[in-house]
Amino acid sequence: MFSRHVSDRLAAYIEEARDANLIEQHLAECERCRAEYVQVRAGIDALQHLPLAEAPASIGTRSSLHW
Amino acid sequence: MVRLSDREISTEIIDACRVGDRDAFRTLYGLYKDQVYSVALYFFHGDQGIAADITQQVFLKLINSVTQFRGDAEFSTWLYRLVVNVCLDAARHRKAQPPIAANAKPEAFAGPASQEQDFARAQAADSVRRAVSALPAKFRIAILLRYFEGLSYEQMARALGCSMGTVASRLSRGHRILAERLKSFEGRQ
Repeated sequence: MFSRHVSDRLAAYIEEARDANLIEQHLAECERCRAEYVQVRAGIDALQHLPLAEAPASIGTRSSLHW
Repeated sequence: MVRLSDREISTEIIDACRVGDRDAFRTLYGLYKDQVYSVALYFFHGDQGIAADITQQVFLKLINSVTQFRGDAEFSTWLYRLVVNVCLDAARHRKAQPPIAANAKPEAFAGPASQEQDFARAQAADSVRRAVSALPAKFRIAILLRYFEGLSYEQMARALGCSMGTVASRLSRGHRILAERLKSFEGRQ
């Protein structure tokens, strides 16, 4: 039986395996959500390219933060 | 990347901050400064000046309000609620000003020297940075908190002041928009 679309729950499924059984069942039968799954996965993977930026040392020496 | 939520912030450090111990504040600052700065930097389209101001404001608020931290929530969740509030408040005040993503200096995002030398990696990072920058604020802050801070959905719900379902929805939609934008960038290259 076709269940509700799971678009808004895909990140939680990919990142934390939430509602895995229900979502996998739905993905098996819904082409639209499978396409969205690929997009969410791509978005999550893309973030791995974003480097952590180093805070400038000047912030810690500003008078208001000079502890 | 080391995630903040993986770190143990001892109650001794927090207690020491509560009584104004400067060394304890310095320790907290050292642990969190890069993550707070990175969220602010990517949230504000690569503007280093705003990111530095936001980081300063967050730690000033931390100094002034750490006595209100009751310890019934995780410290990182409490801190990131401050980050969210400061970022969203600043965004509201700056709404009239156009985003400066196109003018952001690439060195603002520079990683270690080996990354600087890797052109392909730098190009990929720049595309992702531009795509993140173009996300609506509520999706952008959710994605940055999740990625740079590694907060769980429960922690994010507390930091963002919304339900876990809303967190899940914003992340899913945000990632989809991100992927679509990245694809459109690829199409133009």
